[in-house]
Amino acid sequence: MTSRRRFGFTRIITLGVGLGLAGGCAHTHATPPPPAAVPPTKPERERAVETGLPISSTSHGILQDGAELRIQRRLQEKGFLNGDQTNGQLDPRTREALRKFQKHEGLPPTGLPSYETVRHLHLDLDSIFQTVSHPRERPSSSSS
Amino acid sequence: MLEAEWTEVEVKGRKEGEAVVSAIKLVQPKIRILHAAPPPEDAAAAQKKKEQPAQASGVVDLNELLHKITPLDVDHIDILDGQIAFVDTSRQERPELWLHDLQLSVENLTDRVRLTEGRPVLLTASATLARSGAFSLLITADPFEKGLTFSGRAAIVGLETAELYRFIEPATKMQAPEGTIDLFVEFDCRNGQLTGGVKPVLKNVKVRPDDKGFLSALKAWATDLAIKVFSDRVRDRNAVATVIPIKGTLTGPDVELWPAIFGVLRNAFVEGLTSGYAYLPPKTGQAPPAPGAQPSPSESHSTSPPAAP
Repeated sequence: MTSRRRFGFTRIITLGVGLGLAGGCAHTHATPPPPAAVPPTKPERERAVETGLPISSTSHGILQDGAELRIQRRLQEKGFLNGDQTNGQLDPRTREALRKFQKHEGLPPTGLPSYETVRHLHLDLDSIFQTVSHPRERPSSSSS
Repeated sequence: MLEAEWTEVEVKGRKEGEAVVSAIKLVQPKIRILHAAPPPEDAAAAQKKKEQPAQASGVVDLNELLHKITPLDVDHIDILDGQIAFVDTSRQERPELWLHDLQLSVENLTDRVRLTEGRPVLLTASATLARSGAFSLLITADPFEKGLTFSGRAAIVGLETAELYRFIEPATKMQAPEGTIDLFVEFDCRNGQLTGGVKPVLKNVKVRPDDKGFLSALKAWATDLAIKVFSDRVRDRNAVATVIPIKGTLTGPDVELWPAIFGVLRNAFVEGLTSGYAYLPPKTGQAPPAPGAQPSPSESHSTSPPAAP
């Protein structure tokens, strides 16, 4: 089922608030809290912080190992990246290629892999993003 | 206070099991966050209250905003070509710091989709800070954990320090220095326990005698006093070439996920920026500056090339 509405005029909303950008995205639900969804921090990152080595700034702990290379190869297959630019890193050239692909697909051109971007690349989400540590049962009922 | 306007909004409904959730796409939204910074003496007093538990200050209720667009639960938000202005309303000049060319995607906001797919909320974004800083952000979060649980990486690359001075200058009458700064931040928060690091990389920055005042002014305005992030300022350490660990505890009944995340981000960037300035490497043959020491006028510094964003 799909419904679609489009507003072609300017809307202005003013909210009285204090500091803070976004407060209400986290809906309140009766569903019991699931296991930790954010994967454990990688030991390399811990060591990097402790020893002062450069930090990755992008994807450690969020993407699967080898995810960047899979994305690069798919971008290469689709003609958005040259073959000699597949180095397994989310470098500026890869981000620019991702940005072009996202624009082509009508997605926000962030240059970063979103779930939707990965779906549009026809890649398996599990091969790109880290998931929960333990399989989670679907709740019998949930409120939203 | 938050003001938002946009030229176009598209709402799509999608059936998830027995429920219908929606995806919202905002085209060219302009958001203005009006912020009255506390005067310096109030900020200093607030800093002394570090023993108090962290509390998120008044927050925007995004649900309220989103429900003005659609009554459905929102699972996905896209922003195309957005702008966010942080306006300091405490000054007559109302200086603004802009984040423009904002491209943003937030996915899996509803629990049903997330539980089905076993995935956390994912936020990806890119933008330009002021006129020069390339900003990128990648965050995963679990809004349904008992304690705050999120992980993120962010970077600002090539931000001209003069841009920040322009923001502060109306009140301080300071001169804008030359140079650029890159900041790389990563953080993990598990059940309210925050760890992470900030890496500032300053290039060709010229330090002026009034920089201490600049840093105080910046910190007074930009730091979220409700969110405590502690760095380990180590004397004689070259903070520019290393990672400054950050840590903190984000607990309490009033602490909410998204305000906490953005508070951590804001504080981490300010901490990285001020630490980078405070511990600029000395010129050859000189000792590193002691904390609080005034640097020599117009010293020029350059650090190693930045990490890839």
